[in-house]
Amino acid sequence: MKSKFNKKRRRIEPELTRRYIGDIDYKKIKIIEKSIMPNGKLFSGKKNGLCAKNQRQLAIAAKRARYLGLIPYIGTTRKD
Amino acid sequence: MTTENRLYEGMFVMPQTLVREDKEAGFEIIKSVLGKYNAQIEYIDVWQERALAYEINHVRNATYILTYFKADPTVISKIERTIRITEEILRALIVRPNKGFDLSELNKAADEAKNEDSEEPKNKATKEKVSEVEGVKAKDSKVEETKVEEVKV
Repeated sequence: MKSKFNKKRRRIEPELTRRYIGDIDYKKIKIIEKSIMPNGKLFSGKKNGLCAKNQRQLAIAAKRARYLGLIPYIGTTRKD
Repeated sequence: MTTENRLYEGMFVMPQTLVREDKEAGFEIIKSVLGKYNAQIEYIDVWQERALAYEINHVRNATYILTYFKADPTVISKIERTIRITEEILRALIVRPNKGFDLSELNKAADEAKNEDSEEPKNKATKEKVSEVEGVKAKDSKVEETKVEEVKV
């Protein structure tokens, strides 16, 4: 039987350990878009593969990006 | 008490229709807002033109203008208030840049981009011509192929 712990995790960086990928701010939209669920919520640091510092920066960056209309509050980005 | 001027990063969201034709007009609006409170503008340029993730004041496409300016910390709240009144600015965010941020590098990059722009137009024109010629060739070859197939049948 397959263990539930063998599920493949999705990560921004394909590393086994959670790691630091440089400072994140609201202008790095590609990173932010990768780290949000289809409903607009942020993935956890464990799933993103980011260290605690990066995850904190990401949370602030995502909120700022939402305010500026770079990413949506709810759902995925409009494609038209 | 005297306070030192600090470096701030400002991102301004403006309607694309307003800024696309005349970039300077958009810059002037921002400069006038910041200039009211004696902020020294160190850098101002268009960051991106993109579709908004959601409509703001019935506007769908916006231009993002990135600025770096030095200002007194007590003035920031006043600037934010003035921005909220200004109709042309949809949204604005004023934050302090990260600790390791170096403005001189950004200015250098901007200068290099300007130099490239001045050289680019010739290359662009030639590239367009080449692509047109290739497109015509591709069309011709397709037509020939279809003819050959007809003959075979």
